[in-house]
Amino acid sequence: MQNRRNFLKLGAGAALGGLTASFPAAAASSCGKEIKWDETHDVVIIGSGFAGLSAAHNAKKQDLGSVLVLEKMQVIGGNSAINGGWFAIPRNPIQLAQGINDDSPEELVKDQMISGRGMASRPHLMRIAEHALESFEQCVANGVTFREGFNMQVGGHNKARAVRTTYGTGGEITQNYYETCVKQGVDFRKQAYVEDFIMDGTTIVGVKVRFNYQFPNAKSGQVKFIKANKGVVIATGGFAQNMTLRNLFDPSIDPTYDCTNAKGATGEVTMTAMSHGALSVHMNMIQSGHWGSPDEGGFGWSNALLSITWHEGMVVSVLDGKRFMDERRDRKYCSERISANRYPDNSPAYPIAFFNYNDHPDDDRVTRAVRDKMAWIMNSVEEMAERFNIDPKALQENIDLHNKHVAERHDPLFGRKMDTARNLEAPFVVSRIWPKVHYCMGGLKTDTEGRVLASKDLGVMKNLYAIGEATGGTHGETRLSSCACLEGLAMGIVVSKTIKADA
Amino acid sequence: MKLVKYFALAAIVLSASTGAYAKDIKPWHDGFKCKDCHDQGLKSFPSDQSCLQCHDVDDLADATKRGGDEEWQNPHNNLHYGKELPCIECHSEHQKPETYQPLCLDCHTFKYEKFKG
Repeated sequence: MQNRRNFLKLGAGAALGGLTASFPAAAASSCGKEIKWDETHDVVIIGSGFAGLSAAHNAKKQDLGSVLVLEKMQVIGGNSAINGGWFAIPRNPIQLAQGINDDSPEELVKDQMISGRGMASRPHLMRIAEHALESFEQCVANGVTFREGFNMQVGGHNKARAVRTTYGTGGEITQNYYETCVKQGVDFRKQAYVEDFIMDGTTIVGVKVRFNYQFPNAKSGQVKFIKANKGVVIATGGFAQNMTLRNLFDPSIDPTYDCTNAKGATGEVTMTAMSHGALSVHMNMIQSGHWGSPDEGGFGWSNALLSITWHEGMVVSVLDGKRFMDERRDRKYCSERISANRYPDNSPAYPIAFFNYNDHPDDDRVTRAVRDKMAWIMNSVEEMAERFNIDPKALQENIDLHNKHVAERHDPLFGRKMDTARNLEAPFVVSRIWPKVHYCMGGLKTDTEGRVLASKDLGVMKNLYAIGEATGGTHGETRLSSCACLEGLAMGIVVSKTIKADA
Repeated sequence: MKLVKYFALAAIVLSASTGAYAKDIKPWHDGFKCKDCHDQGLKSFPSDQSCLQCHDVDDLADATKRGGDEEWQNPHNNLHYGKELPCIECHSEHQKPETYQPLCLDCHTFKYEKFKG
């Protein structure tokens, strides 16, 4: 047997074959009446990230009966476990303590609609935002702790409203929710891959599951049929790790981009739902995080480190030493401008991002990044210019120009808000940046309560629900930072109420 | 995939007929036979229970404990999965150690000098 992750290193042909085999034929499945069910549960939840865990927790709170969570990977948490732990909560206690009293779900949605560039869904965003505070309170009730006094304004938001878990990872949320769910009697099955749905017309009655599945081998494991009395919840996340789907839906994505996602973010269950007639929207809207670092794999430390840079520091091109963007704009704007930095042979000319070391010498966002060598402390402009092969005179001139704009609190070049910008002087904390594929705004279309819509008549597919990143149409062109955690947790609350109402 | 099946079958036949191990195993597991670990059949990876017959997660977490700002670099007790990470997510019996790396290194540049595979 091969090591599972080594399997992924097989040639593209084998990987493609594997992925192709995992997309079920569109042929109708057997009528539910003919199925011999191996197990029966009230609610079956597919996926164990924020959305799945919240749905499981809240399904128990709503007394929906037996709850089964199916996770195809060997670990609980999906992308949620490795995310940066940022969580947008209007009117959170820290925000109020900071004297910010004019935030609200409506204010959050206003920012999200702007970043969605005309393609977002206000009703869906409002439904999520209305449950922000409740989601935060549930986290705290489940033992999650957040950084004391920490409430930040992050990219594209007009107000400081993002809190962060104590250690800066979503794993603190997923682990606490998992423990609570186990105590509530939620039944978790890992290595359980949902290969197909069992439908009766457009009603889902159960799922066909491969137990003892070994990702990414679509034929591994043993098949069982699980009946779902009240509902099946798709909480399977996005498909950013699936190169085939990425290329299909957005051929413009640079194929050399790394991906921040956990390996299992490959989207098969979304495709299964589509094959049974579920409506999908915005599949081509695939977001790259502008805060990636070429000096570490996947998600890493860079996102956290750059949360300082965007506010206080500056980003320059190594080609000419100049700034080239408003560092505080959203991911789409920044990713496009960063990835335009190319050498003549089109290879990446990774821009550098830096801020004053002396402003944050003990911050773990700095200490971890420097220790793990994806950021460096540079003691002079000359040292930085030499290290990153920039014209030192040009670099100094552009730092001086930026400092002039900081003093004037006005950026005539890109219109950046300068309220948090600092006068920059060595020593600096410097990192290289490059976008990484991060989030799929597209997915299954649902009503605001989490019910999946059918493409044939736009009616509800009975007993089939979808929440979190597996859904589409909510965020439009760009999802704002710190809003995926909110969406997953909030929609877990919403969907459990929906299932109760529909049962 | 068919080819993989044939090889697997050949390996099983060879193993059964000669008593030789179908795969190399780590030197510290010398003396173990296939069924000692393969609790889910030879075509599947072993479950964690197989490893935990001899190893204890809490003991491992203590053995690989780190202090100060490296506290959460403990591969057996980390911020994303706690102590719930399956053994074979990082350890492989039959692969050469130089051909793979611990899961943490997919995203971090931590140092695991003692990782022997």
